Amino acid sequence: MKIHYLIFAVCLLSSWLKASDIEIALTQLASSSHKEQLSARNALSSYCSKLTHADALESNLQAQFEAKFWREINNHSLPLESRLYLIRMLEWFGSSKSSNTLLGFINHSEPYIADASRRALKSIDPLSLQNYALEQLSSNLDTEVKLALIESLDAAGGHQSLANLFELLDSKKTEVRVAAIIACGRLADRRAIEPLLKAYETLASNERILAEHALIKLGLDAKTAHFIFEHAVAESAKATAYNVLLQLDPKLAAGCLDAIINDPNYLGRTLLFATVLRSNVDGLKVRLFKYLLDADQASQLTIVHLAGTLELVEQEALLLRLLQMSKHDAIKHAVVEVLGKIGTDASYPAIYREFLLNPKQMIYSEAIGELNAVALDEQVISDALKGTVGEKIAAIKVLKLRNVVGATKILNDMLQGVNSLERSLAQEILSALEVLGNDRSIQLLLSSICQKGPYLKLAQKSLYRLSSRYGVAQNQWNDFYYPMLSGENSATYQAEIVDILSAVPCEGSLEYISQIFFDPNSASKKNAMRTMLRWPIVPNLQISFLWLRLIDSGILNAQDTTRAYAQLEKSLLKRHHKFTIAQGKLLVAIAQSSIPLATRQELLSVYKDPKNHFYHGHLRAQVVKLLQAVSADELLGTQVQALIDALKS
Amino acid sequence: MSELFSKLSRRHFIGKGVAGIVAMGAAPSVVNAKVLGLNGRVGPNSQINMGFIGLGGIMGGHFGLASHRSVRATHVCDVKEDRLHRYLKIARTRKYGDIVATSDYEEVVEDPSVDAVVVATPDHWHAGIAIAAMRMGKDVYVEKPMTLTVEEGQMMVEAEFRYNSVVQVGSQQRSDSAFRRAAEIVRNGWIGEVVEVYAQLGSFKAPVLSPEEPVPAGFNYDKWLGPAPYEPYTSERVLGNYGGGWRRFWDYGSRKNGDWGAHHYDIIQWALNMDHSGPVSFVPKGYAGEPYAYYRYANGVKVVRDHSDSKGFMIRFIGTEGEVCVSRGGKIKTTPAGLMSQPLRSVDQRLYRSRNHRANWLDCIRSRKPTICPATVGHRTGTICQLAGIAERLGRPLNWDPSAEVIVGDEYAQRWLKRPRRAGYAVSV
Repeated sequence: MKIHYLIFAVCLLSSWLKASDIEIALTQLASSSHKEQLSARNALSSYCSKLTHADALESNLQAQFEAKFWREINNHSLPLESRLYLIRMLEWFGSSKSSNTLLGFINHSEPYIADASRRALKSIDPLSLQNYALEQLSSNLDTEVKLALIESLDAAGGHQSLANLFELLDSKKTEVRVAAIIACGRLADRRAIEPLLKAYETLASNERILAEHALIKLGLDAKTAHFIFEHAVAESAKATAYNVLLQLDPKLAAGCLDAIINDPNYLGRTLLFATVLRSNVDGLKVRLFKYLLDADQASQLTIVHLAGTLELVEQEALLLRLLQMSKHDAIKHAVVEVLGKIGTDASYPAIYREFLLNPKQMIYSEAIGELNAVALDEQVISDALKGTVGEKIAAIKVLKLRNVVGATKILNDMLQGVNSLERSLAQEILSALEVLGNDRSIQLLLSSICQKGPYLKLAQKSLYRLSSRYGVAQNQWNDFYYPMLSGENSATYQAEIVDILSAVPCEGSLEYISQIFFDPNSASKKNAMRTMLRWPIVPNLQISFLWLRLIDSGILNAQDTTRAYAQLEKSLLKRHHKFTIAQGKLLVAIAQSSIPLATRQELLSVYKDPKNHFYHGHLRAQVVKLLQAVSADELLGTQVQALIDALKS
Repeated sequence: MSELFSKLSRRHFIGKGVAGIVAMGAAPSVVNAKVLGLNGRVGPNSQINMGFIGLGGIMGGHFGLASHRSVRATHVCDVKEDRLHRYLKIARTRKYGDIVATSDYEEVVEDPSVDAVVVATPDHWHAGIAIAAMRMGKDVYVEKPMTLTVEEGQMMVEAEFRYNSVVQVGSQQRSDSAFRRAAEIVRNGWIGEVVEVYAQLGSFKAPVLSPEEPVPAGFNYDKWLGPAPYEPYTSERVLGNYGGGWRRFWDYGSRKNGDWGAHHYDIIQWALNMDHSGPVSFVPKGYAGEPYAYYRYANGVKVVRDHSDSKGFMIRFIGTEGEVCVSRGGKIKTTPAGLMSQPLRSVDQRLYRSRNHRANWLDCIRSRKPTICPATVGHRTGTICQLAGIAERLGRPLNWDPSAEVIVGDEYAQRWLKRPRRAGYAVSV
């Protein structure tokens, strides 16, 4: 049964991988047509991918294809890039059986073939390449080839002899010496430590950096770590070595730390401090934190940020002292930022003090919001619910910054309970709701306005700001505003709400406003006009089309008509490509309207440099297309055509 | 066929002196901020000397860093001479002072006066240059995706740690408030358990092969190819535009996976709290009739590429209790709608706050704290881009072990985690 299944699978594979198709693809690789070459590459890539399917591997199909590939790589009539492509296919899909053949290509007379073969061999049988390279390094090779071979040394461990590589550490050629140093690190064979240390003395400064890191890769004992710590040119190597020293000889490391602290110009000082803080040697951490208050600014920043990154909660008190003492804003900001992450109730008073001094500095307000201050939250809630008016106001200020769980509900409950004598409290509640408010807050504020209470205007302003900040105008309109306005007694409070409708600018609210204007009995016309004047000008220019409708219908008085024209002009002059199409449509609507000809002409000539205004070429073409609809207009055709010409110029 | 293995070797190692091909203006006499008694690192108030490597379209924005009061541009570097001239002209116009222009990035990273470099080359060069810079003690801003291969990503992580470099990967959506907001909403469970995520990457046309063209004067094509396999020069191959050019070729990038994927997958990793892990399986489009390419995390969350129901957003997170859709330009939409503006509570997780990706890098160079997108993060995001690309090229699913960072049960696919480099372009941490 199993055999039948296998036969079936092989048949299936054979149907994918027809030998004749492969031959065609290989022939196409030689084509002078690049389209055919590309098609052949795609076909071969697809075949090769299928060759690594488990069933294909079992059926030995891979070996058959590899044989064909080898034949073609040797075919000099194929373009070089096609032969390189075949080697690349072997690099990805070849079997280790091909390694001997690839070894034969490594010294190929065509350097690109040799290089590609080396890469393919590195991919499919790195150990063979490694052994070959180590053997060949002593021979009198071309420098480029030698370097290529050194680069290929990276399979881990297992080499009988590395002597040939070590000899190259003394090479007179810089590039060979450097390549050998890097290879010593990559090979991760500890036998390289001694030759590297021996060579270190004679190396140039930049080469020493490489040797230091090569030694680190090989693994440091305490002695070598101390050597690198003392002599390293690279500060990162110094720090890595110091880290090893911290683990292997903390006593020696402690002595070194004193030297680092006492010398402000010690190479890699801040990096070494970071190393101490990241280590598990508590005694040295304490030593370093003792130094924090006296340290230079750069060291203080490093230590403070690391205290945050490593979440060293136990350093809260020390950081608070630094906050008190430091006169540098950069340090203060860094401390507060870290305290926001690791601080508790203890940090709150100091941060709040800083916040009051710099209320616009977000680092402070954010830190207050993030503090892990359970007692503070409990106190704030308690004060907000049961405190005196003064305590309540103070509590709300904090509540606003921290947004504790349930804050909005507390504020909403407080708002309902606030009496007419507590204006400052009401103001604080509303201000907090503006920042924290949710759906329920919008509903509550709408209701407050409808009740026409003592804080009507305050509530109106707060709701305006909350709704504006809240976004999703259509959603607010549908869920809160419209249901309220369509209620039975809407007439009594309609005007108050209409006053703030510009906070929910959407199709629905605009339509509602337009109905007010066209309703001869509406008492909200003045409010609607005020709202329209505050309406944000968004790219679809909906409000502008309503202005045009209102002028066109003649229902506006002279003063409002003048305002409407000004608004239209303002909309037309917004210079941003997002407005372009709507402006084109508005120009057409103006041309087609029945407003006085002189006004239409005036509006159509608002652009001193039309091409500059409609700066986006593709969109400009669409405006031209739109304008063509009115280019034959009896009265305005010439002017529109001139505008089109100016846009096309 | 262009010349092979020129004796004016492309190989350039530390310690080997080299002159800039174009040295316009005298070399600035600049002192490295790190040697001004600042204990080996840029001090909080010192000027940062910066080199700019890879002067294509993306560098246009980054070069603005040189206008920053604390930054001093010292070098511009590109293998195309005309670009060097163009940037020198810009520098003159903006009065950036004397700048060295060179086609050898080695000259930039080996200059001890340089504190930091911006690497905005094609993807296949990112790791090589960034690691060389870190080894010389520089801080690095490297464009996304951070690397071309998983192996390079691992080396970048090692280099960042070993050389204590401040690395910022150019996944700047992390510094966009809308994306951070979306990620915080997801992280804090406001849309319940995340079930699926849709990411819109779009597509490139297939790579093309064209007849070989003569390499233009003033263009070091061999160096442009660098570690990538040799292919004859065509202008299309080296073009830097967004609709095609080198981005279409697998040899220099991961196509759309590494293009938009590097941005969107990065945000998804962030939102799902997977910055130090990753998905466990990848399925290419078309495999067993799959209409979309996707990958899946161990907790079952499925990330689908180019799903037709993205609602017009770049990323759509679908949870058991709601949704978050987010795009560039501050576009964000939530269900329920109120989630969008709901303030974080004191108990909620707050994500790293950066308002400007480049400024965050500068801040961190001074403070030595990690950036919002360090190499460790860039590597995990890059890994997704690369694995999605490998699955796409092999046409079969991959199983990935994010802890061991190995492809499970497919030794041939495993080979693709690294790409052997051309001789002379080895990279070593």
